[in-house]
Amino acid sequence: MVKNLARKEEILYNFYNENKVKILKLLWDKGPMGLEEISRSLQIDPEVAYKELSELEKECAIGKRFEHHSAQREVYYAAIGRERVIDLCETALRDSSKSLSQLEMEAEEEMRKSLKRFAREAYLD
Amino acid sequence: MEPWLQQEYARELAFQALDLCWDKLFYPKPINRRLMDLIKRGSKAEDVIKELTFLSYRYSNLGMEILAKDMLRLVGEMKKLLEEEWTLEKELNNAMSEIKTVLEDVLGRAMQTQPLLKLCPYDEKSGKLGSHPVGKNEVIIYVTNINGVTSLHIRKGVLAHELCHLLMNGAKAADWFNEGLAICLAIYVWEKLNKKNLANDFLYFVEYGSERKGLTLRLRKYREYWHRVQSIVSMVGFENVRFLILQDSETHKLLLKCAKSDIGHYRVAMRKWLTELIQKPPEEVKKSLKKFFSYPPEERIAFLKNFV
Repeated sequence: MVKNLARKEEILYNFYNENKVKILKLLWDKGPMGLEEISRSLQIDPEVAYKELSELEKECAIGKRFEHHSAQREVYYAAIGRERVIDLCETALRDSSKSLSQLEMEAEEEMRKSLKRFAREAYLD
Repeated sequence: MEPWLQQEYARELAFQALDLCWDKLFYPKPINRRLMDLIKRGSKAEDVIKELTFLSYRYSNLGMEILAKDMLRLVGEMKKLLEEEWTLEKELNNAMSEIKTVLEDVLGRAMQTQPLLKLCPYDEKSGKLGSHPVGKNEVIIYVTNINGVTSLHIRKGVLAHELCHLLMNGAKAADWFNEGLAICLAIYVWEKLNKKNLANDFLYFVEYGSERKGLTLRLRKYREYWHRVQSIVSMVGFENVRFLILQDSETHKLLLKCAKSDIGHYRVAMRKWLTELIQKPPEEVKKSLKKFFSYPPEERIAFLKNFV
């Protein structure tokens, strides 16, 4: 299972550089962390880590918050779960393998199907 | 908000946002499809916003810039709605105010107060989409959980349909006429309000749904009623619907006979005659129609020639 997930995570390299993938994995594995902790754990320059974190934050892969329980500190956390991120990356890759007109047609067909299924049961009063 | 309604919130919000920006998007249907796939019952709106933003950046990475921009536009719309504390109840209440004005205008009847809107969970066993409890100034909408922008559209169509019943309750029109007209007007109202997508989806639901095998007998029957009323209304025009609802069941049948009769080139003449006729007292209308059908076909044509 874990091995399977690790293999699936390879998909991240389609979208991210080494540092970003490491950051994401770290936050998934270890939970929320401060900037210094991240740069120390991954042995990357804090300035580089900050830049990567800001980019990941902008696209909602991670979030930033204050933790209050000990001394107040700012931490980064994974905003979207590991499996969900993989799902979304797979979705994007799948969509990119089709033309937009094909996507349009598929979407129309899906809408029609869902409406058909529903109309079989429902009625007006 | 009740827990069952809270479970639907993220999806309702997303589809409402999509509805609002539908015309501004290059690829609204693929975006719609993504919403159908990604948003599950019970999802939190904030999480959906994050996931869609994330997906948008993935599209951008893959060079699908237009789709990525469309997705971000939708996210922007969702954030706005969330800030405004949008709810389905508010949305449907606003829709009701919009519909009410148009319906009152076309039916020539006014309501003292706006009916109370009640949202109930959709029960697949009963299959009911909406109802108007007898003797109460109330519309019940059963909140469906079908995926797709159409769910909100159908709900709004149903809302117009039920409101139409409430407005016509005093008119005592024939049953088939009531039901058919309520469908006709539900579509008309949303077209009039310039919400063509919405009108089309409701039309598609009634038309297409009714062709399905195994569909509830009731919806199939209603489709037939709708077609009958449509042929009458297309003869006299929506602006004269208010006179149509004053007629009794027998007159409605005679009007339907007129609408379906084979009169070749004299359709315009018949339209002119009927439009003037239905504005007269109902008894006189019935009498004239009966008289018309008592003539042999060639005399009917001769009569219609007077209106050319």
